[in-house]
Amino acid sequence: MSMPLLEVEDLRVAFPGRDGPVEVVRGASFSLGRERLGIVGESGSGKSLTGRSILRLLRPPGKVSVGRMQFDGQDLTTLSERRMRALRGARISMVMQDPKFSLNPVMTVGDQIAEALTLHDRGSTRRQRRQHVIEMLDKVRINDPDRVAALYPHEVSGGMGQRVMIAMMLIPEPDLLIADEPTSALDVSVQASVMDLIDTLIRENGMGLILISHDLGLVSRYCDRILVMNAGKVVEECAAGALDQAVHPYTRGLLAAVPQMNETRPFLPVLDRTAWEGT
Amino acid sequence: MSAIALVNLTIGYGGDPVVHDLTLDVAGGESFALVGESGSGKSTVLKAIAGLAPDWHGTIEVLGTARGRRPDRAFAQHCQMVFQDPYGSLHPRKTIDDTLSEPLAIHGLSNRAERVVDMLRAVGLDQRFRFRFPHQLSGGQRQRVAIARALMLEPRVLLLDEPTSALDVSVQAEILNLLKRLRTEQKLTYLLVTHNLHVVAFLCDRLAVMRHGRMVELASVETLKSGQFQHPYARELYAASGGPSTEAASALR
Amino acid sequence: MFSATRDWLTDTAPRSRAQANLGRAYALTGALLRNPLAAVGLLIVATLTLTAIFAPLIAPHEPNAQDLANRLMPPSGAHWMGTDELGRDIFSRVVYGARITLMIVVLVAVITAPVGLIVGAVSGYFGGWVDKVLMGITDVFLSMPKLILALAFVAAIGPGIENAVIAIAITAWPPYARIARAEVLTFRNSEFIAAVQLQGASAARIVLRHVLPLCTSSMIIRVTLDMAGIILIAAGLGFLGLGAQPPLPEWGAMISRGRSFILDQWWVATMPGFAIIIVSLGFCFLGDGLRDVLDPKHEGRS
Repeated sequence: MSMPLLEVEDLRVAFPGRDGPVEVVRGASFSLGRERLGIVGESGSGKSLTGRSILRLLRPPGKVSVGRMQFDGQDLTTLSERRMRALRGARISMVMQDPKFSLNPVMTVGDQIAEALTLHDRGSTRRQRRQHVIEMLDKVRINDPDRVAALYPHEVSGGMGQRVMIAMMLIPEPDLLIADEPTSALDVSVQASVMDLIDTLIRENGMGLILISHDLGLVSRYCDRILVMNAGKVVEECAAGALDQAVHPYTRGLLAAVPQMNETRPFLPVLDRTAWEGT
Repeated sequence: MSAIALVNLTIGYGGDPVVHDLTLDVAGGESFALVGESGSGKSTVLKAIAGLAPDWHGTIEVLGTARGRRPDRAFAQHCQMVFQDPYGSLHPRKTIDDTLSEPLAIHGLSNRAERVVDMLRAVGLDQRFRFRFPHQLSGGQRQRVAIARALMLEPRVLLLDEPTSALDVSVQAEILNLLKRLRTEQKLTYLLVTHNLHVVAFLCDRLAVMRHGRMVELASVETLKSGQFQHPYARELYAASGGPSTEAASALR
Repeated sequence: MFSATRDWLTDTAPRSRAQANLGRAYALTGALLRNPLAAVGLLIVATLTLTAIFAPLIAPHEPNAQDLANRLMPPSGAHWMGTDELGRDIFSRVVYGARITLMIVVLVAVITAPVGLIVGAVSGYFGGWVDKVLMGITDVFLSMPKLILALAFVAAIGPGIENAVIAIAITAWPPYARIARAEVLTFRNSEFIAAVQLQGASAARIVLRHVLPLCTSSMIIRVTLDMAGIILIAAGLGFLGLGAQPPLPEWGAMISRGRSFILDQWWVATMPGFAIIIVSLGFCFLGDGLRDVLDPKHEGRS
């Protein structure tokens, strides 16, 4: 592999608790090229915190410590807050779970996308930006982009809102997209189209993707490589196609616990957490 | 006798109806699923049966008795509901014991402590949890409490509104197993609302696919397992849900 | 023995309802005491209460005993806060005044908080025309300036401490009703309320046992914070001669009398003034601390 896009070594996130700090991410390490990496885990596994730590978006009292975190040759740990702001959006973007909370309710969709553009590209004229926004909305397969650009966030559906978010995140043409549960607030039929869209755009632009999700099926469908996280640690790393060779009992338990469409088991196997947590 | 019979049921929220002319029959002891996406009106049907959406016309019969518009005590003993969000469905200032004793107190039943202890055992919760507050419990444990609360009055019909969609996969498996076991043990009738076809395949006997407030297809769970739906929307939903088995699952076999 | 009690209170698996509730109270008290301002507030309020209870033991003189030979004496060893124009010991009067202040505060709280809670809870839970009528009445009271309404009321039914309490109570409940209503609206449609409705509970039972307990903490916070204002209004009425009547050692009335001597005998008006300020501050601190501890937005992060 050529030089990796992102390298993270020994990432730790701690929150203060009653009896001293509690580590929620306990030494996660991974690297990623211009490929699609999935991070899977259940709630409390630290997968979302991992995503936020890369962008240094974690708010106090959360504390991040990391052995090494490099993005395209730059050391993210020592970068000034100003340089970091320039990096966010322009080179690394993030799509969050619920478009309702991520979009500004008093700005039209078009203006918000245009703003994402102006923050990183001051040279263009108003008309050029407008043109660019419409093209982008068209690219995320919104019919009638002129009309949609004039709408406010509450006037668009969940699926369309998420497309708008994606348009907003991709318009500065970043190198890496972090998608944190991008479809879990959406209906199944919309889920597939939003994921297909992200997938196509990632491939077209040759970007890297980190897809954070609780859904093993989704991740195995849309990623090249999968990290399975449990209790703040990466317990398994494998190619998406090789999930059947997963060795860690947690991964195997997780896979078996999903009911199947042609389900014949009278009862679902339940994770025996004592097997590896020792509690 | 059918457990739930809906005849020409139309439900509105003041304005335009969100469910149109629904006729449905759930047999006693059956586990029936209403499937659809958001806005299909599936949850509204459940609310109307429970008495939480009073603006409807048509007929709703539960265990042969037509129900009124509002919750009432006689109805409460036959039919109870489990809600979607285990974090919002338990009173935050009441211990588990208070929550479970409340229906007994409302109906003037005796032996409350004993019944609470028995019910905790039935839903697989340790007695340690009895005097805890909800914030001291995990999502799965809360959902067990919510199921226990619904069963305190020994109803015969249980309405389940997306009971596992807010839970992790491994916890979902535990709750689904629990629901399956309780159904056999207590001879319950389930009416389950969900968007997750896998859950239906595991827990139900029949399903109705809903879209835009209308039922588009009524099918047996065998139809679901083989994917032989008639209506194009039902097939679309089936395909979007990952078809016969998700790749992750086929990887396991 | 001490640690055994502590373990019992902090047990994560309580064995009885009482233990669970006491454990929760213990955790809240602990959190309150760890907040320095709240601890100071609690100390002041506790001191006020103890002073009121043990006034006869604490006060070195009879509060109303006149000694005209020793009029307007400055603070000294014999009279810690000096004497007033009738030779009465100001310290003893301030100590006895704590009783009056505490009585006013407690009476007002006991009258207004439940009225506000019930009006607000009923209004919020039932909605519709019930809400319109109750909130209409509340708004009428809310639109009148507090002190002016109290003044008018006392002027109409005559001065005196009981009438002052009634007057303050009448003007103090509407904000509580508003708060309670707003609080109820946030969880009226929540699933845990729907669950008790489905169990066949009566509306009265739902309001009293399920809705009210959730409003009480914001109510306690608000009432505590308002205590300072109530003390000030009571003192204001006393100052204007419409509250406690002589010779009752009410702090506001004492300031009023000391006003004539403020330039030459500053202590006569200043000492009860200090008492008012300290006690008002105490309630404010305590209220702020309670807000940090009891605020439902912080709950569940234990």
